[in-house]
Amino acid sequence: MATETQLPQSLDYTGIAPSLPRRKPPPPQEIMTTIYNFPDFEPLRFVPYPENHLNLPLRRDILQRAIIFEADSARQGTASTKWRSEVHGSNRKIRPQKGGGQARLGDKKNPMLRGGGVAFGPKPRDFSTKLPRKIYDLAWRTALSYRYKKGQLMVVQRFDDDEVPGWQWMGKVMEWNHLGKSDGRSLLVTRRSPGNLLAALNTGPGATAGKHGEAKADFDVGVKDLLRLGRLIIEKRALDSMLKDHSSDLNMTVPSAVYE
Amino acid sequence: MQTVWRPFICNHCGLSIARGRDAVKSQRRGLRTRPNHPPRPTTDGDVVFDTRIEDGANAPALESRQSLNRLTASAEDGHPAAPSSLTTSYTEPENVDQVQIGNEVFDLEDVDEDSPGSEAEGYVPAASWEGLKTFKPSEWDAQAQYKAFKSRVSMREPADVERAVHTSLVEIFALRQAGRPVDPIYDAWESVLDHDDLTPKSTSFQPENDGSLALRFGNERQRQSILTKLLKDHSISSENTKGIAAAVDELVANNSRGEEFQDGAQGHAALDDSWRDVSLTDPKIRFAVMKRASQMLGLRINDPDIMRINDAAGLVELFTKKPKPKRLQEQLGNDDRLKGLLNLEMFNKRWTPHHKDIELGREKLIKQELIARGLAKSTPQRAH
Repeated sequence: MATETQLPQSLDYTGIAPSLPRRKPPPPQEIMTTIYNFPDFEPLRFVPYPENHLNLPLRRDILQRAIIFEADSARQGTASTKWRSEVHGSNRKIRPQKGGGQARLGDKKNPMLRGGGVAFGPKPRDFSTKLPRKIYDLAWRTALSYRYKKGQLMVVQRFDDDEVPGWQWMGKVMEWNHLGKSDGRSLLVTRRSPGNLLAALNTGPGATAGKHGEAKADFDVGVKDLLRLGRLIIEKRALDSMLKDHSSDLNMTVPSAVYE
Repeated sequence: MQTVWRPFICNHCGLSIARGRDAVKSQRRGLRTRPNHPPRPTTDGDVVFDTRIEDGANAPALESRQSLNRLTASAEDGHPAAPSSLTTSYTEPENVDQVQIGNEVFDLEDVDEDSPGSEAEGYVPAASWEGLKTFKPSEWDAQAQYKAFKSRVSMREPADVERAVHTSLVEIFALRQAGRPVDPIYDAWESVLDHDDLTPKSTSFQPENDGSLALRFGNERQRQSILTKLLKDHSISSENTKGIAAAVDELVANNSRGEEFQDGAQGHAALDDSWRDVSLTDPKIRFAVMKRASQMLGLRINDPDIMRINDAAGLVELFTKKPKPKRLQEQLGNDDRLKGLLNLEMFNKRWTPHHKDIELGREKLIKQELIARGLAKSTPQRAH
């Protein structure tokens, strides 16, 4: 019987709540990603990434929470109206309380009157919400995993800013490699501010600005940006720093009932 | 690198001359867009064409933009191309053969400035780019400046895909077994190997002792021929002292036409399928074959799909798999269940009663009758 079993000596039962031994989770499997050269997009090599970085199952609910969280934080919240106490005017009672046959009114700043204040109108406020850091990080990696599994994630060794002459050349590169407007546009993510790359993609005469995609630095990117355009073309060092910054829910020791 | 717009300033009069889009507008107004000054003489008397902007201390005063309307330079200013009479509108100098610079008068020679290397007096070839004309990157020919890894046009036909994968396997295995780097084959989009190099007589994949497949050549000359083509290295030699060209000639002479033309309709020998079972579990081989085949076909495979394949046949399936249609119209058109239904028709556009009139032939009769009654004119047939 279980009560007659002898417990191992290594366990400590001095506390009220006995602590379970913790063990490290098994090392995750690895998946391979192709690293491309820029601008000719020549495959250079395969690079392994852990499955819990780029091969997570799709969780639409977590993605939705993260995107709503980002949208809330991005709100300016500057809508403002004047309530009846803030409207400029006298506080004099404009007609007697009784005897008029009309509705009773105090001052002329009543919301029911033209020129009066707004009844519970908007005020500047903070719309940001909170989301646990680990859920946000999980959403980030889920978005990257979704792109990877769809084949919409291209990892580039490096975006050499000096090689980008202008918007015409960049348009040629995007069209040639089927990454541009006719193929859903692409988001290029670089480690630092892209400079020439940003100017080549985001600007241009007339309708050419942003025609084939957008370029952003890694600190400017959110979960929504990762999912918005047709594909994601990201610099390897930017991807590595993203995965490093959004792995707070990983490498946790797991409470286990396996007795050693 | 930020492009900063600088006005082109004439060295002599200091006027800002319109260029580019502004030049078009100025030309329409009849204004001059290029300085019409002779070359500035240097101290030793040699005439040098110089388009540099002068130092700030010595530069003439920059005129305002409104001064473009007054492009005639005044003789009192000491302008080299100043006409003798002062006019309010631009006029060409009267004497174009001579020009006055300061107090001296120079004779202008007819120099063809457009011909490169013209032996004009005073022409000095540029040793550096200082002082030469510059232009914006957007003015380049974008197409000429970009060289992609793979071609723009993609091929998904099964015959092309099989040919590309088979060729990739032969190229990569030939180089690996010879201990040579694989990189030279990526220089060109198309393969240097032809159909004869892929026939079972030339190359085939045979099982080894450990069960894996290895590339086998018909004979040593064929191996050298293939390696020479791939590496573009004619120094590849064997124990046989014959030259490569003579060896190839002998190979061609020895091959009888009757043996080669097994498929009489196309005139090419049939290829075997031994290459389909070649294993791609080795990451290096998988990468090299995937890279070369995608370069030849102009296609890109998704990373998860690349990791799932185990052999060359799987790679062929990946390349031949058609992408999912983006539009519902295409997806419905490809649906076999709908095609088999007799009481179902699909149209690209919204079906209206006018379309039914056209289908039944009523529309033609209506038009003819209206024209006959003079109520309508005959018009070209519109596409419906």
